[in-house]
Amino acid sequence: MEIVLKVLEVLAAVAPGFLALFSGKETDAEAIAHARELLDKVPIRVGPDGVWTADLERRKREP
Amino acid sequence: MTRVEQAIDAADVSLRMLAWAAILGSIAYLTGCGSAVQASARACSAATLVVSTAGGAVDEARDAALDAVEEAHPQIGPERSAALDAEDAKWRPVGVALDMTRAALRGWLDATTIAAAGADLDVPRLLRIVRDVLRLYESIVTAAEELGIDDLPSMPQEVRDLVVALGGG
Repeated sequence: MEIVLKVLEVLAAVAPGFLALFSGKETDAEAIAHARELLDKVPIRVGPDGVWTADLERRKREP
Repeated sequence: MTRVEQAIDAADVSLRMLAWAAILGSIAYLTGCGSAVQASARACSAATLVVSTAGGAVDEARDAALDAVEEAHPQIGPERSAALDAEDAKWRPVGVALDMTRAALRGWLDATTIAAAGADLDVPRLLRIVRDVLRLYESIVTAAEELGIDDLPSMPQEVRDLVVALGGG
């Protein structure tokens, strides 16, 4: 009985790792979400929608 | 069976389980089970952080330059607008390089996202994009140096390692 419990304990410990490793989806999704979060913070600077363009126009209008 | 024997048996089972875990983990890694997507996403994050940091430094320097123009031309009017336009024009090349790098990073992330959704990782395309990011970042550094900014961070080794891992030497 003790051995069975020990085996179950080991299985419980390694099972989440196996699932994460073989499904890959959750960890992949997290890595991609993190990259997207960082990239969304990088602004467009030049062109009609650029933050530099808006900043330049504001400087021309405001003292 | 004594308690000691039972404990030894349990330890033996645990070791065998761990050995199997290591073997299966190696197979998963070698067959690219999720690892290529994660490596790509993480390298993309690292590259984005560097571009973001460099962009922040460039923004700060441009702000200071345009502030100086405003101080030199306190009156709103054509003269001040022309002076601001002239100063802004100096910063456009680095701004365009930052925007192009941003677009390349977006392409990188899209290619990674498509692979994560189940498609094969398009290695030649990804390699081309990552090389583009490296080349564009060089142009950011060069353009920034011409404006007196010479302390931009380098691209992390992780990005260069990915190029090697993708077969790009």
